[in-house]
Amino acid sequence: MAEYLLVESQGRYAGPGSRDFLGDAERLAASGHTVTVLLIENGVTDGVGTGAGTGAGTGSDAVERLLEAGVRVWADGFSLEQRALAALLRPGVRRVGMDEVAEQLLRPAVQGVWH
Amino acid sequence: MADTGRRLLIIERAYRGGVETQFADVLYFARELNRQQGGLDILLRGLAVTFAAADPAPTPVLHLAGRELDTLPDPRAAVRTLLAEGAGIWAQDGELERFGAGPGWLLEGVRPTSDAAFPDWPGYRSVHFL
Amino acid sequence: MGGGTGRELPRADMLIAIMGAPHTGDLVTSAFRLAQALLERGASVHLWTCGHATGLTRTSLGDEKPRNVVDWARAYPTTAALAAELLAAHPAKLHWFACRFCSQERGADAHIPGIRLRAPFKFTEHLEAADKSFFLGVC
Repeated sequence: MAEYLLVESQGRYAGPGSRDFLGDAERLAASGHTVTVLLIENGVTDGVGTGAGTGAGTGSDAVERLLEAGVRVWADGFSLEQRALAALLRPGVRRVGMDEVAEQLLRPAVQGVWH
Repeated sequence: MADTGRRLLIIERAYRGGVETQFADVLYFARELNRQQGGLDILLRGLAVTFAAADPAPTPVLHLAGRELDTLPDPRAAVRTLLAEGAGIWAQDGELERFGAGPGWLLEGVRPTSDAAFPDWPGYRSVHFL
Repeated sequence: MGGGTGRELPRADMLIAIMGAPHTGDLVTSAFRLAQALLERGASVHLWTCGHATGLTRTSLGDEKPRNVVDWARAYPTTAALAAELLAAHPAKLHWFACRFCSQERGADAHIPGIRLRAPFKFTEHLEAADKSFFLGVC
């Protein structure tokens, strides 16, 4: 089984792409692969809020499903600070720094995909 | 329709450039236009509502090759400056709800929109997405 | 500077290809941050720029951005200056390439020292030379 670091950089404001990409993460996890999702740049918007008012199929709903599926979801602290969203991080999503991302990426077994 | 005599700028695309942009972001242009026009109004929607957060935390510093780059865009400081310089700032309430932003999250002086209060387009000389 | 490398590419732990345009999002900042974090850990990094991102290292940018009219005395480094500093700090571990076609197409083929122009049809060699690769944004 493979190990993935999937990086979502666009978020729900860029269109349906982030929802689809987080769906990719969900599918990989359901197939038994180990998946970590990193939300970065505008992608951190998928990791904040309660999901209320977002409607069906938004990025936040997709994050909720990932968390329920046991996928590790990270959010880049730098991006959260830039957007004044650090205090609104939803439960279950862990704030990380680029150092931790680099270390994860340098692990030989980990494959990275950037969206 | 109340004639504001002003122009309305709507900003919905946020965070367009970091290290390459620094001070010269969309609000830098808005600030200069506000000066030239003698006042204007800005509606923040989408992710741009975060420009109006009350959070006083400074924008992050970047550590690159021994340099501390502390000149990244600081939209919240820019909104404070725009308010001080007479610009009217609105933030779309639906976006605030989407983020789970509670009372006090919005900077004082920024007006949240509602069904009853929204920038009245016919009252403006022109409307532009920026 | 100049044409092909004329020699085999060095291996890299990570290729970061900046495909998207600057001034549209935070992808350039992310590329710098990720490169810095990897280099700090002793990793070797290749940066490749395509499309408008080739302009990040054009010579004509100089070291400082144009003046900020509301903060006249303050200096703001250009991306070319930041790239030069990163290259100088990691001469053995960081290699920076710019797509020749994209550079020429945009009149940006005069790059700062340390940036190597490469033909786009050589890009596959760069993919093969790196253990892992990220494409940031799209051209």
